[in-house]
Amino acid sequence: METLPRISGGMDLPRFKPGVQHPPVTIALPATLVFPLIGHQGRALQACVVAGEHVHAGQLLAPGMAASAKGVVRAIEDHATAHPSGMTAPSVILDVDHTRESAVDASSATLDLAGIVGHGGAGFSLSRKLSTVADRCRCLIINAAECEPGIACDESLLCHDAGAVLEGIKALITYLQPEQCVLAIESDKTHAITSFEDALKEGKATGEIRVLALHPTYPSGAERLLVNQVLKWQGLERLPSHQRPGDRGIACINVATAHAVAQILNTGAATQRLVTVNAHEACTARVTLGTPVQHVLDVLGALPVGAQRVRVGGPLSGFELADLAAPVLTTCNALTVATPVPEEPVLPCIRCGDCVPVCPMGLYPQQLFALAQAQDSKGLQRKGIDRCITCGCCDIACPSFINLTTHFRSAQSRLREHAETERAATHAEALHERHRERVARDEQRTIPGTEAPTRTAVSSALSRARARRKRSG
Amino acid sequence: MTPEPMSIVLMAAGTIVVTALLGLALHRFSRVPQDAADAQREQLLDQIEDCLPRTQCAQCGYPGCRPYAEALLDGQTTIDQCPPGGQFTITRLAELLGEEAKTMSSPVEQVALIDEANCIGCALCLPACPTDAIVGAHRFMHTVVAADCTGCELCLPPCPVDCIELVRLAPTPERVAWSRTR
Repeated sequence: METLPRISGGMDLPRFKPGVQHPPVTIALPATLVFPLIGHQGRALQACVVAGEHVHAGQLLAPGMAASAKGVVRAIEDHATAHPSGMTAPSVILDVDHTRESAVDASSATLDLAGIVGHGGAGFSLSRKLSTVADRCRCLIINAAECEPGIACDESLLCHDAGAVLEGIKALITYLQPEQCVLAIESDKTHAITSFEDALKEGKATGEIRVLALHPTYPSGAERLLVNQVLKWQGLERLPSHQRPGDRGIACINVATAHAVAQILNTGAATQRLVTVNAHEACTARVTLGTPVQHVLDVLGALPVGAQRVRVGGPLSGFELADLAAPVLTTCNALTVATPVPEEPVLPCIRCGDCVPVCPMGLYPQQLFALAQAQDSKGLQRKGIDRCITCGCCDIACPSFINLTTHFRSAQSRLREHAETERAATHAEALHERHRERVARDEQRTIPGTEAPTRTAVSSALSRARARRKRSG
Repeated sequence: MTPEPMSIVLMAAGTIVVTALLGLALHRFSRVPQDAADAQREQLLDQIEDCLPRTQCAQCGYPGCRPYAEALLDGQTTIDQCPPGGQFTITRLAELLGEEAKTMSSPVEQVALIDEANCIGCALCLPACPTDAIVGAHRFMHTVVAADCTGCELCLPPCPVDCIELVRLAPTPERVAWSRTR
């Protein structure tokens, strides 16, 4: 096991990993499962099932979304989602069939990954990510880094189910044939590291997968930062901001996603994920995908009371859940039930610069904040607002309690809107050009039989009409 | 010692002549050739037009976005005449033309929708659309290609049976705009 140096920037936050010591608690299947038709970055998905259809576990409901249990599609209708906007979205509502599932033939040689999206937080399609390195995979990185306090599901997974994780990783290695495979984890997760190393010995794979210990700094587990740490360790150039890891032959897969691959190998479907539940008691819950948050908390006796609210994710990257009917999906890694701490009143920026050394991406939050206040889009882009990963380190460092991350997220969304407006305008302009050309062409064209009559034709028609009138008197 | 009147007259005349010569030279050598001025004007018009949404809806009172750009350059109109452009356009025009940015509400994102049950296939709406977003022909069903429709509303007046309505595009989780406060 090798230890990597600390990243520059970021913050060393107190270790707070609830629920790791005890094995996960399985939450019983609810009566109804919900699958919102939202994909990566909120994109709308097209359902490939209809109301009334019988589905089995593992059957695709939409690209990247597989049913997690056998049942009947009750309807496809608007439902609450665990999306930070609090919006509803068209969702597949599944009435669960609790009778025993017939044995699924999981022995087929092709591993159908169409139903898996990443369990790391972004929910990117696994098959698409793997296809970017299909030609040549230089390095497969298994991301077991879980750097935000309050989230411990990946650590729990390694502590209690390392064997299955190893199975999944081996399947990915067979599929990708990487030149090197590493598992990256923070050095203070000693139990998890031991557990995984034991699994490696048992699975006779000690030489195949190198374990890299990261300095436990937030947000060293963010994909781009992790890839750069590994590249530095390998003595290679870091990844420039315009490149993706796939462009350098690197695939960075979350450890829980690798576990999902193992689930498909064993049962034919990836149906569950671990979720850290942080309430009056902390535990790790094993939840079937699509289970409403309400059901999970009810079973655990952790429904919010009084002024308590439910937060999805960690204290920095998470958001408050508007409706408890929202389902737990692959991107939900933690649920915290607590009374929100009243926010400190925001004070003016005093130009102290405390935010600058903590930015893991090397940006200048103080400057970006001034530009965001001025709504200077060009300036924001020039100073790298697109590189901001909204980790929240600058928020913690700011002595004036300015919610910098919220401003940057808003600025990023405004820039996306502008880009969309620009694209629509260019499209309309192109259409209008085509329209003008078509009108010009049509003016040149004559449809046979509709040409304007000649002078002789007109005069002969007039004389014919005069003669007819004379005849009729 | 006062100079003689004659020398004063001579000096004055000399100054006038030299100044005239200088002025002539300045005029002759600093005048921009006509085609360069035209190219400059075209470039400026392109820049102004880039700020506009180019839906050619004529809501500004000019028959298209280019005529509006020309009117702006000639100082015949103001920068807040474009409803589809909304605040975004006003801000960019203000920056480009060095004028004060006024405020305007955001445009409503909408697309036209033809009620097929009531459409009589008269084809009068087809030529009205500046982006040719309406598909159809005489006595055939007409339909609006939503991806190409800019919501400019020019198709509504020609329709004799009023079967076209404008549908607002609802915000989705993908297109949500994050506010600056939590």
